[in-house]
Amino acid sequence: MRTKSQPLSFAGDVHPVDDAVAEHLKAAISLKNVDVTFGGDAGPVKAVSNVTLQLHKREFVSIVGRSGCGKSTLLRVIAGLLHPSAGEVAVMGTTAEEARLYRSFGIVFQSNVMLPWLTALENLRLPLEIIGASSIPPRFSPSALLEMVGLKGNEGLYPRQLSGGMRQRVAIARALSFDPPILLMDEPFAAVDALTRQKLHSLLSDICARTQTTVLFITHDVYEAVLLSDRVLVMSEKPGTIEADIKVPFSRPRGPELRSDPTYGALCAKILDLLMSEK
Amino acid sequence: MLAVLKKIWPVVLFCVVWEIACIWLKIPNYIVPPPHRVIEKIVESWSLLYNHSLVSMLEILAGFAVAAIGGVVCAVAMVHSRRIESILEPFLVVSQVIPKVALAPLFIIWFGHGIEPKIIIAALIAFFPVLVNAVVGLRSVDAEIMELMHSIAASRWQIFWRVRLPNSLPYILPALKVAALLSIVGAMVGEFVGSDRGLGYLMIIGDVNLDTDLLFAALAVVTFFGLVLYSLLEIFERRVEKHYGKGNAPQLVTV
Repeated sequence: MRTKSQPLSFAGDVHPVDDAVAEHLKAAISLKNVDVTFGGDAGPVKAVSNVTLQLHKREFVSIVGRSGCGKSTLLRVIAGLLHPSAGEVAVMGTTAEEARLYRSFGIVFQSNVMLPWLTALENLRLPLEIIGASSIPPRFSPSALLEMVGLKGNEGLYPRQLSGGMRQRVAIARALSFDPPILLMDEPFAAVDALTRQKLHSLLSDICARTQTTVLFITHDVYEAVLLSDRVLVMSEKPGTIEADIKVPFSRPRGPELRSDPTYGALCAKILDLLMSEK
Repeated sequence: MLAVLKKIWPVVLFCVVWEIACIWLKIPNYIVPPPHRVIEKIVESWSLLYNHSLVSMLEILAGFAVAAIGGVVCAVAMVHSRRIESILEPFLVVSQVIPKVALAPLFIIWFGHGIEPKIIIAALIAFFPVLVNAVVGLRSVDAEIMELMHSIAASRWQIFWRVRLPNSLPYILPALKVAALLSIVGAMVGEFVGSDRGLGYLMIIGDVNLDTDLLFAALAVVTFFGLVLYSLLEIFERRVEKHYGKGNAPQLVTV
């Protein structure tokens, strides 16, 4: 279904044709039977196969899977950076491509991609400068965001003067700087040490609660996924497809004490089993 | 002062050894003049050297400027469009294979004995390092930065000004140093082949008249000029490096 004429709108503005269509448009992100095939020298390779998933607004959903299972490809499809070979993608009631043009996505990558010649604050402001003045100013100013990620006083530092964890904080703040409805995170904490990662987990939870952003979080760390998410999608590899959709029942806010909760451990073990049982 | 001395003491020592060697070995002036003789010559023929160096400097700077601007502009065009790249590439490869020094007589025929053919030769020789390094610099943007830019629907123009161009600076600046020195070579070669002015012309005159003092004096002046040009570019590069952070300086692509 093409939804080209749909503006960036919420479900209330859309006249539902039938329930399935309405559901497709109501979701923050909705994928239906999405395939991604790459043409290679050794013939076409199916990276993503028949993926159907939905993220509701303000939901935090993780996709876990082994490296190379196609989770990052899926993220790029959702971000409108890659066209699916088949299937439908709807983001905030429009196509992924249009949602990209509407600047609906803040993205955080694994490597901290900051421009080395700009200070922390300048890096953070870059998307705003590229987008230009919009009619609705973002809810949080760059300096407020910098404070939110705990980097107040480090505005003038260059990326090389920041630690890996600090750079990732800037990356999160930068992704939220223009107030996008959706935050896409591609293994954002894979490159930082365990202690820093824990700090960043609680930071991310706090920020998501404050900004009410819908988050798609990609990781291979099951414990991280369960700790942060409302739902965890388990992705199998070759070709990548969603194997299981697991609800995380714990209430928020979740403190570090959750780690010692036996139900938490059991849930993580269950997801790990699913990942390990693949051929 | 002490810092400068610390840096140049090997050169000073070299000159002292040279001076002593000339006296001890009784090397005649027309073979190798001792350093004090070169300095005397520079003082003696100051106005002559000054007038001729103005010509050479103009050629060198103009050739360098053409190479620097032309190299960067060509690189931008090639990175911008695959078609432009495929059109330019064979010409660039051929122009690289041709020994440009050997083109000097041709340019003298075409453009006469003025400064124009020297500027052209200097620019031609210095052009390539700038072009190649600028292309690499403009292209070597992190793939995820590009994705980030696309995800916020940045235009090509915005990506160019805000990402590609600043990203290429640490690549272009070392290439400019090489280009500066190559443009000196180009200007000198041009003057050797056919001219009635310039330091290269003075060297030829010194050579023909067995006035080795003059040859060395002209050589000293052009070397000094090269050092100044190089140092200025180095200072500029250091400034940029300070901004970008040391350690991630790229490898210079040599041609």
